[in-house]
Amino acid sequence: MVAGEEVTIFVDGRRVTARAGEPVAAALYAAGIRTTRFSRRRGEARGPFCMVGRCTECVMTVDGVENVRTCTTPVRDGMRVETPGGRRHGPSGA
Amino acid sequence: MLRLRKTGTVDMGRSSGKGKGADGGRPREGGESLAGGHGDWARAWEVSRRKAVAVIDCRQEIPCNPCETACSKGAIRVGEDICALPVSDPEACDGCGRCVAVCPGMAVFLLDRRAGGGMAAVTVPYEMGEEPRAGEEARAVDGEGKELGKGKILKVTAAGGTAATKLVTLEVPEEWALKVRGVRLREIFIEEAEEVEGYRGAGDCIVCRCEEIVRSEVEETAGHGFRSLAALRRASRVGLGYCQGRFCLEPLRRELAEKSGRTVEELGFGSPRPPLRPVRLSRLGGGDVRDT
Repeated sequence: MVAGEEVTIFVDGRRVTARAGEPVAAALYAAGIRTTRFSRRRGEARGPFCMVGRCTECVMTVDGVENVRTCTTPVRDGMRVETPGGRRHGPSGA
Repeated sequence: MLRLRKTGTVDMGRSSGKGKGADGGRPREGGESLAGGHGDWARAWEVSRRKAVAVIDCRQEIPCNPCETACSKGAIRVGEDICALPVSDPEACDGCGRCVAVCPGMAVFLLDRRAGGGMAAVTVPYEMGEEPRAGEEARAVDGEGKELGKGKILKVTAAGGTAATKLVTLEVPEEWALKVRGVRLREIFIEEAEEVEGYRGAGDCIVCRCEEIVRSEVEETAGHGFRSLAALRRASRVGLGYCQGRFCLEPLRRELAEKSGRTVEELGFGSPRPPLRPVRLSRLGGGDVRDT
């Protein structure tokens, strides 16, 4: 892997171009995706908050593993990123 | 990636004949011991007898690498995994201080023991409004903002980072040279943390992000007469989520102190349970270590 090289990840099945080595949350942000999960109690949209792996607002299901903090997880080519519980607000996720 | 850091074997007590004795190589929160899990500290300590060198005290695996990109000598390496802790090469370091200036976490300082005589020159970033001046005294503070003692300002430079950052070089005794993380020009009294002020002004905002508890809920629960932080936490669930109270415990503590008429010191702190972050069971069992 060369840092900065273009790779493709799949966000809820949708192809998203990312840069190798950047955090998944950064790739999502660059692609205009602001919602990483929906809160359990109120069902509110949530997105990356602290960006440094502390708050767990950005946890998603990555390659089948639940509760992965996307802000500290580097992108890998072909990575599958899913919104926990599924997308509820349409495919744009905005 | 899980990174196991090589633990330094030299203890400050043994190498300089001062300070505390060996602590068995256990990492210490203060990070002042050379045996404290920083493999490059022992070398930096030795090299600092010949030249100024960067010492990195970065313990949080956050996605950040300005120190690496700022170094023109290639003396700091984070590598492909941007969450990895930076590793420095004291021999390659020319003591320019750019890494000190750019680190957003104030996690790098310069150490220079060339002067000898039991004194060391420590260079730390300074971004407050007041103008530090060479020759004047300043208060050295540790990573938690606690005052270590006074030292003479030897030098103030413009750093080479952002315009707002200055590098202040302070002369301090070798015993606590490794503890210094910042300088203060005068004594300050902190009545209330700024973030708590911010939270007070934000109305019915979320206090606990993990458990989705808003401020009015905390106030209501605190109003029931709980006298311990632990009881309030159990009743409200604030601070019992994923992050174990990293973001909410301080506002919660202040809220309860106000309601119960006790001081924050009396209330103590919560008792966050290990692990401090979600860890997969397979990881604890020695299995798959791909995700940190």
